[in-house]
Amino acid sequence: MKKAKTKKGFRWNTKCKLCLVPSLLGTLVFFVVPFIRVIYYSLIDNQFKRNFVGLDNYIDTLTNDYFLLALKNSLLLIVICVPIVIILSLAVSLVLSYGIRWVRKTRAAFVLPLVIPTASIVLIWQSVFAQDTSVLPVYLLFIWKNTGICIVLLTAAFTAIDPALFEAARLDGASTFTLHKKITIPIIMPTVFFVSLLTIVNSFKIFKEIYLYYGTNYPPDHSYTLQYYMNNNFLKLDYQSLATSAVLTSILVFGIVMAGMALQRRYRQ
Amino acid sequence: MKKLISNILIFALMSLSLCLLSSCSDESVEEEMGFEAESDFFQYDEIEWVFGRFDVGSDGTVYAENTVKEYVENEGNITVYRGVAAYSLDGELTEKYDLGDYFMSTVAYCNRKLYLTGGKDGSYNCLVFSIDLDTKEITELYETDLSTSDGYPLCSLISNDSLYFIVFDPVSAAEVCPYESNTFQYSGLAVYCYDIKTGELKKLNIDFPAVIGGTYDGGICIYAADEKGTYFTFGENSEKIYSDMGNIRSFAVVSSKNDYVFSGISSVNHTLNKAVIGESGCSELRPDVMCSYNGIKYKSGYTFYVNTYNVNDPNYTPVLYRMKNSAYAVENKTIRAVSPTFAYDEPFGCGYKMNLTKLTDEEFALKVLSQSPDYDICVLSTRLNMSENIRDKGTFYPLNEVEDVEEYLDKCFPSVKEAALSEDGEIWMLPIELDVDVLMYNEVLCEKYGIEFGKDMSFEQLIENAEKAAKSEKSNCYALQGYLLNTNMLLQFMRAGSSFDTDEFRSFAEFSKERANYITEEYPFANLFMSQDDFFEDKENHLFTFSSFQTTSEMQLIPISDPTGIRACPLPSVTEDKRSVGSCLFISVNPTSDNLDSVLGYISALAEYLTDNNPNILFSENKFGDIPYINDLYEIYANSSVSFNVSYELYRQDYENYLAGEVTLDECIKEADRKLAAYFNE
Repeated sequence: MKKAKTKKGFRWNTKCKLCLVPSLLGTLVFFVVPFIRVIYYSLIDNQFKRNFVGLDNYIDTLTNDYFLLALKNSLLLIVICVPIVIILSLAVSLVLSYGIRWVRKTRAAFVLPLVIPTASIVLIWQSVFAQDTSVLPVYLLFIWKNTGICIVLLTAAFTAIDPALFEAARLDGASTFTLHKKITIPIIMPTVFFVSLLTIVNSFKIFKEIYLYYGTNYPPDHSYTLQYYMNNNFLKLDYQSLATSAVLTSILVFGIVMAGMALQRRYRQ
Repeated sequence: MKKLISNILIFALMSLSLCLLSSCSDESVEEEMGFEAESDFFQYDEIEWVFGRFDVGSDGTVYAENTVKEYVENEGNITVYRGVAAYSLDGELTEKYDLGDYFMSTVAYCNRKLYLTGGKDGSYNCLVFSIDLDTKEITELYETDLSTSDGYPLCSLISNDSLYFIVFDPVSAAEVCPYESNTFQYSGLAVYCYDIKTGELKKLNIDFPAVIGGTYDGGICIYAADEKGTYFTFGENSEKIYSDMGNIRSFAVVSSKNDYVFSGISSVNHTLNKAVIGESGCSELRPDVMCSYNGIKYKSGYTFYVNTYNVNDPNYTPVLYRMKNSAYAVENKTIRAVSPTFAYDEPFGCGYKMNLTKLTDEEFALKVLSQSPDYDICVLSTRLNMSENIRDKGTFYPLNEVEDVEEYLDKCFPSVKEAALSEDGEIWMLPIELDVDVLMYNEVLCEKYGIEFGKDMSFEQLIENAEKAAKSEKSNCYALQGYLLNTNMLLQFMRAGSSFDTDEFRSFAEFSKERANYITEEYPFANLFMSQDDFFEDKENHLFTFSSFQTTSEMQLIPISDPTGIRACPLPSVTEDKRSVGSCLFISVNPTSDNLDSVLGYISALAEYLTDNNPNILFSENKFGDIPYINDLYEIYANSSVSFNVSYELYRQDYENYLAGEVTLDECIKEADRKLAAYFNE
């Protein structure tokens, strides 16, 4: 009987693993292998002559003023905009989840930034901020575009909380503050972590909006991000700089995601 | 034993049957004799003004119109003799056939007879008639309902005992062709078939035909259009093979693999080409060729074609040529060329099958960076910012070991040779054209209006000259484009350094804003484009023109027989470097190409071809003669430098914002320098 159970379990496990194969294969072919190749290109001088140069390309990139400028701008975007997005999303989600009914009916409108074509938004932004030469339009554009999805996710998290938990806590005499501290916050915290990471990852993908807004491959210094650095090197056929900066950016994103997950695990404990 | 005898009898019967069948050959199907000429390429000097009125016999004899005209005062040229003449493979006239009252529009040879279409004095309908080559007897075969006032047949051929011809047909012309494009328009033609045996004429059921051509085996091929596009078909109800070849005027199918030789009018460079029906890409066999209707015939491995191409020579007459296909067409794997945006002139194919694809800048960068083996060469200009990167990033195959390339470079101007070599001495590109901005002017006329040009003319002096011209009675007789002129000046500053923060630039920019502002249009520029041809066409009345591209063919460089009074001078220098700014069109080979053998063979053939046939000013030796303005051009070109441009977006927009008054000069310089610094240092 025990043997039969194990055999059945083994067959089930095998089936499950087999189901994962297509997805893993795709990941391998379209992500892992190309990434390894990019790492290889970052270690040679030229993809046609292929002389190994070790970490020279990395040293050149890390000491390049424009890479450092791009890195600084990308990190500033994260440090300034991501918290604003999270706080704003939380506030709006709360209102949508527990607020006046007519406000709750406007929920769908927050999805609009996701569906409106970027080019249309940029046109409006250009006319509104025509005289503004600061980085404010870029930050506001990022916040406006990304808040929507965060609101959707956080609202779903709020509405997923079982009301019975609140009732039970009230019966036990818990105050409103205690309710939220002990129930709401712990339940939605994973979602908050998730939207934070999502927003951070999206901050690395803002190239399209800035490019359309400024209409040039060389925007003002305050908006020159890592994507610009990589795109311009691509157009100049400088594959080594492109590969190196791509690897460094990947390491940065990976580090941020790992740090976020570690923080989340610690919080759970 | 019985079985053996019966088998032998069966075999004997079968053999006898085969013999009988083979002996009953249809007398009307001519046995292909074939011929072999001494030379691979021959020009029929004795045949004049032939256009498409010729055909070739199975022995290689050319039968072409032979008309004699005489000039009569008050009446002009009068035709005094109409006939057809026969010419041997050596081009010698061997026989004449008098047409009498008949005149021909097309001729087709079959079985010692010529079948002609045309007309007759006193008749207003198209006729079909024949000449017996042995008896010289003319027989009128058919009088059609087609009126000669609508036009005569454009081309004809014999196939399967029928004479096919294509002609304007009013009924067909009334129908609207469902397919039209930039390169194809239906001309109201219809294909007719005259059955030689039965004497009947019928109109083929082919919608919207454009031209007919013969095949290597005596068949017919029709190029037509329907709602899906243009296509080739080998008969009325045959398969349609779709292929967009624009407006072909002449073609002939030369092999069972559907290779065909054709001349089109939609290509930038007029060439005699060979392609495969239904496949992309073609081989350019001969340059500077344009054939009229019925201008191409194929026989026994030779293509006969009439070249009506003429750029500016008023003395040019159409000439018949014979070319051995195997000597000019290379059987190669198609050479795939890519070019970002556009190339000004595609390089001659030298008989190699080629296919050029235009890509956006991003697509081009991706293709190069991905080491894609699915392209072989790239064609681009040093005006495009990507060109220098190809050299600097090593994305090229060195051409040092390729035959004829080094000799070719040695003939080029030193600046061109210098630009073609990398830091390591590798030849990274084959330059095929050099363009230098010059001013061409009528010296006498300019002097009359107080306009002086010269080698050391400053920018201010040039603008003063333009102002004088604008105020004179010749205000519409000069061309000076503000945008192109400023482009040249800005390129000079870029060449001088990577910063615009110099006294020279500030002085130039302030002067331009005040006196030569092409943005606000308060300037003395005549923004009309006056080509070299336009300028020379009325050189007595034209003052000067700015020429941004110099020559695409020998004839365009010397467009007139009397170039006296015309001179050229370089554009003003605005930096300490007094050399003119030049841009070079070049070819670079993909090092990861999977077709290197063909490609390097092509590069060698192209280098050899351009060494002897280069229509452009690229070599330091003047081959156009001792003419003052040609000498001027050579001097300017010799004193030029090839500039590799950076993207205009780095400085152009800021400069134009300054000219428009939207920013100050300091802001303009600051912004341009910021972008340039990023470009050079990122």
